[in-house]
Amino acid sequence: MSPDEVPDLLARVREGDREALNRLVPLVFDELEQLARAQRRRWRGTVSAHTASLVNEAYLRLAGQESPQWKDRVHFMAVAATAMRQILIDHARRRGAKKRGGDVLRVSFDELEGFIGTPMAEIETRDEVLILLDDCLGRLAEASPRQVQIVECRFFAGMSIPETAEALGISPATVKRGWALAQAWLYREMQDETA
Amino acid sequence: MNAEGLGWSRLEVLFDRARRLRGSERRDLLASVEARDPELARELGSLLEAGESAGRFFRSLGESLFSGNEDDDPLRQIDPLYGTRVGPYRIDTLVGRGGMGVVYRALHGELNEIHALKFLPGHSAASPEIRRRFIAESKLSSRVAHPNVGEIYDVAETEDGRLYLAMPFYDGISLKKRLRSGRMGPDQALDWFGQACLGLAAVHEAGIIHRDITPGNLLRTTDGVVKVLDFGLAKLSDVTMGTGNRPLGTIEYMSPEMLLGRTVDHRTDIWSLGVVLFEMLWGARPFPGRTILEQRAGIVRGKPLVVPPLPEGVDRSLVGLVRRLLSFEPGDRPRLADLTAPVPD
Repeated sequence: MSPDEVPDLLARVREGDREALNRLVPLVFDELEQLARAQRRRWRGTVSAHTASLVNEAYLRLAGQESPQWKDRVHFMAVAATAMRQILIDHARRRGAKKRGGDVLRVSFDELEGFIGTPMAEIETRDEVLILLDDCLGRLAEASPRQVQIVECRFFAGMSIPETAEALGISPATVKRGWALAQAWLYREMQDETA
Repeated sequence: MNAEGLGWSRLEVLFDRARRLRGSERRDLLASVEARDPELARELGSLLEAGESAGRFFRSLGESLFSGNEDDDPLRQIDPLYGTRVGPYRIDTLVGRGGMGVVYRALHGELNEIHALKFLPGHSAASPEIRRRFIAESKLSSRVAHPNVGEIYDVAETEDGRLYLAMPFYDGISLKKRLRSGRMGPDQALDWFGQACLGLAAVHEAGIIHRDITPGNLLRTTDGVVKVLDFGLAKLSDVTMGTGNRPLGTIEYMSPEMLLGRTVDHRTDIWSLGVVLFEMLWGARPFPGRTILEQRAGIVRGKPLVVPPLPEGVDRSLVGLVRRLLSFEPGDRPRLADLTAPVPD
C-alpha cells in the first residue's frame, strides 16, 4: 500500500466514488495509528498497546462517513483529529448516560479547578469535564471554526505545533497564538458554566 | 460576555501581545485598548485571567484522559467488537489490518487458545454469491500445509453475515512493519526471501496463485519462521472490489502483466517477490512515482530496471537476482524451484 495513491483516490472520492472511499481508508490507517501514538507519547512518554482500539474506532467512523471533505493528505490529519475528538466525547457521553440513567449531572466549579495540577481525578468527573469541553467547543466553532480545529489537533490528537500547522495549512505562529487563546477562552467558558 | 462579533483575529493578536507583558506594561496595553473599545478590553482582561490557569488545566486533563491504566483505558472499551462473541470465540483487541480486512486477537472458548480472526471488509460480504466464492476459495487455500505458509483453521460467518477466517495467532512481525525501521542487511533479506520462496512454492504447487505478495502479507514469527499469508484472497478482492479490468490491489508489487490486464499465472508472484527483495535491500521500491499513474507507467514500460548504488555489504550477484525477478517477460523470471536451492551469502 502506498500513500502515493491517496491523492488519486481522494479525487475519485470527491466525485462520489464509494468504492474509492473503501480503498482509501485502509491507506490512511497508518496516519491514524501515527496520531494515536503521538497522543500517547505526548501524555505519558510511552506508547500504549491499546492505541489499536482507538485506531479501529476512528477507522470505522471514517469508513462510515459518506462525503468526507478531505482535500489532500495533510488535510486528512485534521479529519483524523476530529474523529478522535468524536470518539473520546462519545465514549464519555455513553458511559455518563449509563451511570446516571439519563439525568444531567454537571461538574462543579471546584471539580473543574481540581484538575489543575492533579490529573488523577475520578473517571466520572473527567467524563463530565469532557462533555462540558465539547459543549464549549461547539460554541467556539460559531466564533472561530479554525480555533476548534487547532484544539482538535493539539489536544485530542496530540499533534505538535508544527504538525498542527501542516495539517491545517497555517503558520506555526498562528497555531501558537490560536492555541493559547483557545485554551483561555474554553477555560473561561467552562468556569462560567460551572460557577 | 464572549468573543463573538468582536473580530477574532484582532483578539488573537492582542491576547498574544498582552500575555507576554507583565505588570505595568500589560496594564498600559489594556488601558489603551479600553480607551478605544471598552468591550474588547473587558473581554481581553477576562481571557488573560483565565489564561493564567488554562494551560495547566488542559495539560492535566489530557494527562488524565490519555494516561490511565489498562482497565481504565476508554479507547480499549469503545472498540465495538471488543468482548463480543463470534462463533466459539470471544474477541479481544484489533491487531492489524490489510486491504483484505481487519484482524483481531480472539480466544477460542472450547480450546482455550488464542487465535487470529480476519474479518472481511463489510462491503465485500454483500452478496450471497460472493460469500460462497469466498468460502470456496478459502477452503482451497486451507489445504496448503507447509511451515512457511500461514495456516487457516476455519472459514465462517458471523450472525450478521460478516465473513471471517480463523488462523493461528502468530507472534511475530510483518515485513511491512520491519521495513519501517529501514532496509536490512543481505543475510537477513535473503533469509526472509528464501523462506518466502519455499512457502510460495507450496502455494503454487497446490494450484493457487497468491496474487498479492506484499510486505504486509509476509510475517516472521519470534522463532524466525517466515509465513506467507492471505493467498487466494486477492482473487476474491478482484471479484468483490474491482470494476472491470482496473487493478485495485497494491500497485507497487503488481506485475506488468497484471497491470496491463493480460493473462496472469503463478509467475506474477515471482515478480512481486522481486519487488519485495528490492525493498528489503534498498529500503525503497524499484519503480517510484508520485502518483499511481507514474508508478504504473514505470512498471509497464518494460525498460531495464534502474538499480540504485549498492548499499554497503550487498553482493553484486544479488543485483542480478533482483533484475531477473523483475523481468518484464514472465518467462525470463527464475523458477521458484531454482531459487529455493541454496542462495549466495
